[in-house]
Amino acid sequence: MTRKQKRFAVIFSALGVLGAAVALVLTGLSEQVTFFRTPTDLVTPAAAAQNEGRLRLGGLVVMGSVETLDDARVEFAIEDANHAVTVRYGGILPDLFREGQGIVAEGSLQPDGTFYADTVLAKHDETYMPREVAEALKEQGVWKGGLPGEGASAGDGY
Amino acid sequence: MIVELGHYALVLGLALSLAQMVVPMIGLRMRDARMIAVAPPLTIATFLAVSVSFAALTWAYVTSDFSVRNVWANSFSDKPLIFKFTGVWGNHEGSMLLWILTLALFGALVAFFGANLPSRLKAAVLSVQGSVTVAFALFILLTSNPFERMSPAPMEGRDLNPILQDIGLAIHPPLLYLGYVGFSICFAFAVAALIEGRIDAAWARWVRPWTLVSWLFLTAGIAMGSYWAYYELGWGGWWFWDPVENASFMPWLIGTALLHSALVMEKREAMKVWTILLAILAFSFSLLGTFLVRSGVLTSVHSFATDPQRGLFILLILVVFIGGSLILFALRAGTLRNGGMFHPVSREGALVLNNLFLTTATATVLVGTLYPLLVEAVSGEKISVGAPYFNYTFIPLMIPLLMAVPFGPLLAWKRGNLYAAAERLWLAAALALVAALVMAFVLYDAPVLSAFAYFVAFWLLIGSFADLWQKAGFAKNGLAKGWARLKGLPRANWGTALAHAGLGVTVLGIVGVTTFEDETVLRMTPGETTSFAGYDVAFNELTPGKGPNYTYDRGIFTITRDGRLIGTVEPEKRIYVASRMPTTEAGIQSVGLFSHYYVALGDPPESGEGIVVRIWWKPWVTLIWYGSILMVIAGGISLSDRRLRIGAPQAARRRREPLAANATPEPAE
Amino acid sequence: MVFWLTVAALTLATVLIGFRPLFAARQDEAGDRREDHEHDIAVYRHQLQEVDAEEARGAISKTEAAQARNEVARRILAVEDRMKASGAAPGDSARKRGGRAMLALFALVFVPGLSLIVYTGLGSPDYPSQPLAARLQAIEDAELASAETQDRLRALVVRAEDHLRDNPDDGAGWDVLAPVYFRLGEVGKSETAYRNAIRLMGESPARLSGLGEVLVTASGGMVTAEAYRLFERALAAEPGEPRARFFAGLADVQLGRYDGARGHWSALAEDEQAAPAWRMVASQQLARLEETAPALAEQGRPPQLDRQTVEQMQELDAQEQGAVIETMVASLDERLRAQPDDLEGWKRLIRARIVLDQEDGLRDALERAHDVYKDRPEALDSLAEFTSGLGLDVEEFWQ
Repeated sequence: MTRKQKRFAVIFSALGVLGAAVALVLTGLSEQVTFFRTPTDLVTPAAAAQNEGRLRLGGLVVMGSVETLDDARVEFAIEDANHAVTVRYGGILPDLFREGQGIVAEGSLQPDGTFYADTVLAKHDETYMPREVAEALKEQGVWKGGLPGEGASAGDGY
Repeated sequence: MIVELGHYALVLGLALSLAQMVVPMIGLRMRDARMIAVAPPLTIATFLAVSVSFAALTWAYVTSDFSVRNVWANSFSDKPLIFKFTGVWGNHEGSMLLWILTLALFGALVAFFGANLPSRLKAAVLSVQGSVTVAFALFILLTSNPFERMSPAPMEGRDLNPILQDIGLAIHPPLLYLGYVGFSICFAFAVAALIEGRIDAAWARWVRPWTLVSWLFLTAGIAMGSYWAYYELGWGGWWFWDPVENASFMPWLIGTALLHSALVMEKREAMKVWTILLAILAFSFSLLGTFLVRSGVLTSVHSFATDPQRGLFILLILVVFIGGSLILFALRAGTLRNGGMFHPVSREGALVLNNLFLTTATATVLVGTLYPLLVEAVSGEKISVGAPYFNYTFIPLMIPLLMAVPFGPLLAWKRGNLYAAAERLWLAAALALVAALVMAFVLYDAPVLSAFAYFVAFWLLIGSFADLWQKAGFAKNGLAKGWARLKGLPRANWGTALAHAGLGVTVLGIVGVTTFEDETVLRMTPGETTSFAGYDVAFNELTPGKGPNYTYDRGIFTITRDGRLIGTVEPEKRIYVASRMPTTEAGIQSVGLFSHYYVALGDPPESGEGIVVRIWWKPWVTLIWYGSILMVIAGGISLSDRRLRIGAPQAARRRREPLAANATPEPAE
Repeated sequence: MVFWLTVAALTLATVLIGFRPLFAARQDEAGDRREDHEHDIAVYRHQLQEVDAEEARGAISKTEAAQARNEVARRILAVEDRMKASGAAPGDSARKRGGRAMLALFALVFVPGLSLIVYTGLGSPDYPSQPLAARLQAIEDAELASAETQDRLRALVVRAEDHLRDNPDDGAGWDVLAPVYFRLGEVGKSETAYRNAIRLMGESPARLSGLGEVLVTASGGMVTAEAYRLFERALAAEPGEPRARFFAGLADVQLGRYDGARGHWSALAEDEQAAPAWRMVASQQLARLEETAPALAEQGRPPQLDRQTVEQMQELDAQEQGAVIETMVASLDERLRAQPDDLEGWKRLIRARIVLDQEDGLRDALERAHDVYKDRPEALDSLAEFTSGLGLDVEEFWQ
C-alpha cells in the first residue's frame, strides 16, 4: 500500500466507527430515552399518545396511600397539584420513600390508567425533592396563579 | 486554635501555590535557573501547608468540634471513630479539601520523584499544576469553606449521611480522587509540553508513569464505588449508568486511551497531537464530572447537596482550563512534525483502533449524560437517559474492541502480520469457544446471544496470555527454559497481559451476572422457608437491636442447598438516631468462589404478618471486582518496570563528546 | 499569642522550604537548554538498549531491530541539532541578580502578606477550638461550682429565716430573701416572700416584676392575668424594667400579638442600660419568634388568628385589639356550642378566659366542658391536668 492508501484505510475505518456510533446514538436517543411526566400529564387525554413506552413519573406520595399487596408488591399513589395516579411496584421501596415525599417512579403506563414501576427513586437526603418534581410542581403553581377560576378549586389543598 | 491554624494553612497553601504558578513561569521566560529551581521545593511547601490544613480539619472531626459548621453538619459525637475520619471527606467542603490535597500531593510527587525530568519541563509542569491548585483553593475559600465557624457552638452534630457511614466509603473517594485528580498531572504535562514546545518521544516516556498511576487509582476507585453501591444501597445493582458514575467512567475511558496512545508516541513518535489532546481531555472530563456532580444540574442517585453558586464557579474553572489549554493546543498543534509512518495492520494500527473505539464510546457516554440538559434547555421537555440507552450504544462499541484486544500485543510495530497473529490465537479461540458452549448450554441452558457474550469474555481472558505464551515458546524451548524466558520478560509485558486478562475477568463477571441473574420479592414471616434459584432460604427470626448510633431490625436467614448449610445472612434495616434516616444493609452470602446470594429487607408492613424480602441470585458477580483488582495489580507491575523510571542523565550528565557517535543512522530502508 | 507564633512559624518554615534554592549559595546550572537535551538523550540511549535487549531475546527480528535503532538515532541527532541551534546563551548575570532580588522580595512579602490579608478577612483567629470533650468537662465544672454556690446560699437562707422568724415585719429581709428563694427553685416560698416585701415596703418595679416572674414559673410558663397586671404596673413605674419587659413580650406571644412581643423584645435587646443576660435572652427569643411566628400564626395558637386578621389587628390600637381578641374568643365559644366535642378547642377557650381574666366566661366554659365530657373521665382528667398547669383547680368549679 502506498502512503496515501494507508492514510485512507485509517481514515475510512475511523469514519466507519464514528458513523456506526452516530447511528447508535441517534437511534438510542430516539428510542431509549425516558420522558418525565407528572400525574396531570398522564391523566390529560390529549397527551395520551406521548405516554407510551418507558416513562418517569414524578410527584408527591399521597398520604395514607401506601399499601402492600398480597403478592408482596406495593401500591401507592403519586400526586401533583391536580391529579393522582396509582402506582404498582414490585420490589423494596428505597429507604427514604415516605408518604408526602417527592419521588420518581420509572416504568410504564398501563391501559387501565395505573402505572407499573420497576424502579422507584428517592433521594438520600430527607429534605430532598427530586429536581424534576420540584420544578413540575412549581410550574403548576405558577400556572394556577394565572388562571384564577381553576386555581381556587385546586388551591384548596394547600 | 488548631481549627484556625488549619484555616490559615489553607490560605497559606493558596499563596504558596500562587507562587508555585507564577515564579517558575517567569523563570522560564527569563531563563533564570534559580527561579526555575524554586518550582519543586515550592510545590512541596504547598503540599505541606495543605496537609496541615487537612490534618486540622480531621482533628476537628475526631474531637467533635461543633463550632466548625462543617463538622456540626456532618458529624455526631457518638459516631464510631473510623466514621469521624471518613466524615471529613463525606461532604462537599471536606471532599474539596481532599481534592486540593490530592492536587498538591501529585505536584509534590512529581517534585520528589521527577529526578529524571529536565528541570525546565518539570518547572513548567509544576507551574501548571500550581495554577489548578490556585483555582480550586480559591473555589473552596470563596464558596465552600470547610473552616467556617459557628458561635455559639451547638452541643451535638447533625450526623453524617448514614448511607455514607460505611467502610467502603472510607477508601472509595480518596482512591477515586487519586485517579481523578491524578489526570491533572497529565494535563500539566501536556500544557507544559505545549508551552515549552517539546512534544516528542521522551515526553511520552515521562508522562506515562503518571498516567499509569492515575489510571490504576481511578480503576480501583471506580471498582470500589461500584462494590460499595452494590452492598450498601441494597438494590443489588453494581452499575447504574448514573451521572456520577459516568463522571468517573469518562475520564477512565479517556485515560485508558491515553495510556495506549502514549505508548505509540514513545516508541514511534507518532500520534503526538492526539496524545496531547487526550491528556488535556482526560483532565477536562475529570473537571466536567466535578461540575456535573457539584452543580446539581443533573439528577443523580448519589451526590452531595448542591448549590448553584458553586456550580457557576466550577463552570468558570472548567471554561478557563479546558478553553485555555485547547486554545494553546490549537496554536501549537500546527507546528508539530508528524512522526513515524506505520501500516494500518501493525501494533500502532491496533492502538489507533483502541483509541478510536474508546474515545467514540466516551463520546456516546458524554452525549447520553448531557442530552437531558440539552433537551431541557431547547424544548423544556424533561427526559432522563438511563441504562437502556447506554447499554444500547456502549456495548456494541465495546464488543469489537474487546474482540481486537488479544491481537494487539501480537502485532509487530510498524507493519504487522494479521494472518500470523490469527494463527497464534486459534488455540485461544478454540478454548474460548468450548468454554462458552459449556457455560451457556450445559450449565445454564442459555440463549445463543449469551453464548456469544461468554465467548467474548473467555476469548479476552485466554487470548490475553497468547503473547506471553508465544514469547515463552514452551513448545519450542521446553518447560524449564520457557519459564526462564517468561521470567526474563520486561515487567511491562506481564502488566499488559494481566491487565487485558483482568478486563476479561470483569467482562466474564458482567456477562455471568446479567445473563443468569435471578431475583424474587416475597413476603415472609419468621419461621417460613422459601425455595429460590436452587437454594432454600429459611427466615429464622427478626430481632430488633441497637448499634452505636442507630437502631436496627435484623433478619436472620439460613441458606441451605439439599439440606447442606451454605451460610447465614443477617440483613438489617437501620434507623440512624441523629438524622432519623433509614438505611438498608444487605445480607450477602458467598456461594462457591464467585457467586452471591443477596438478601435485603423491606419495610415491615403496617398491617398483617411478615416483612417484604427481596432475594437475588448473583452468579459470578464478584468476578467484576476481581477483574478490576487484577487490572490494578497489572498497573502496579507495569509501574514497577525499570524502564519507566530511567531517563535521568546520570553518568552522561557532564559528558561533552558527541552523544550520537555510537548510533550513527544507517541508510533508511 | 501562641496562635500567632504558630502561624509565624508555619509561614516561615514553608517559605524557607519553598524558596530554598534562592538562599542556596551555589549556582546550579539547572534550567538551561543543554540540561534539557541531556535528559532527552538519556531517554533515547535507553531506548537503544531496549532494542538491543529485545533483539537478544528474539522478540524482534534483526531488520526490525536495525530499523528501530535507526529511528532512535535520528531522534538523538535531532536533539543535537536543536542543542547547537539554541546555543548556550543564558541571560546575563546583572539581569539575573535583579530578578533574584525581586524574587526574594516576593517570597518574604507576598506569600506571608497575602496569607495574612486573606486569612484575617475570612478567619476568626480569636475563636478557640471547641472540642466536645473539653466543653463537656467545662459544663461539669460549672455545674459543680453552681452547686457550691447553692450550698452557700442555703446556709444564708437558713440564717435569714431564723432572723425573720423573730422579726416577721422586716420588709428588707423578705425583699432580699425573695429572689434567693426563686434561685433555689422554691417558688412557693419566694411568692410569699415577695408578697410580704410588697406589703411591708410598698411596690417597686423590681418587686412587682419579680413576683410576676414567680407567678409565671408557678403556672408552668403561662403569663396569667395577675402576672400580666404586675408587669404592666412595673412598666408603668419604670418603662425600661428589663424583667417586666421580657415577660410582657412573652405574654404578647401567648396572646398571638407577635408585633407587641417584637416591640418589647427588640427594645429590650437594644437597651444598653439593661443587664447583658436579659438582652441576650431577648434577642434569642426574638430570633425564635421570627422563625416560628408565621407558622404559629397559621396554625392558629390561642386565640385562633389567621394572618389576615393579624394584619388587620396590627392597625388597631391596644384597646381595639382587646376587642378583636374578645370577638374571636366569642366566636370560638360559639363554635364549641355547635361542635362541642373538641377537647383542644375547650383548652384554648379556657386558657383564653384565664388570660383575659373573665371569671364568668371561665366558669361557663368549664361547666360546659364538664357537661360535654362527663361520661369520659379521661377527657376530664386531661382538662384538669391542663388547667392545673395554668394554676387553676377545676374541681372547685365542678363540684
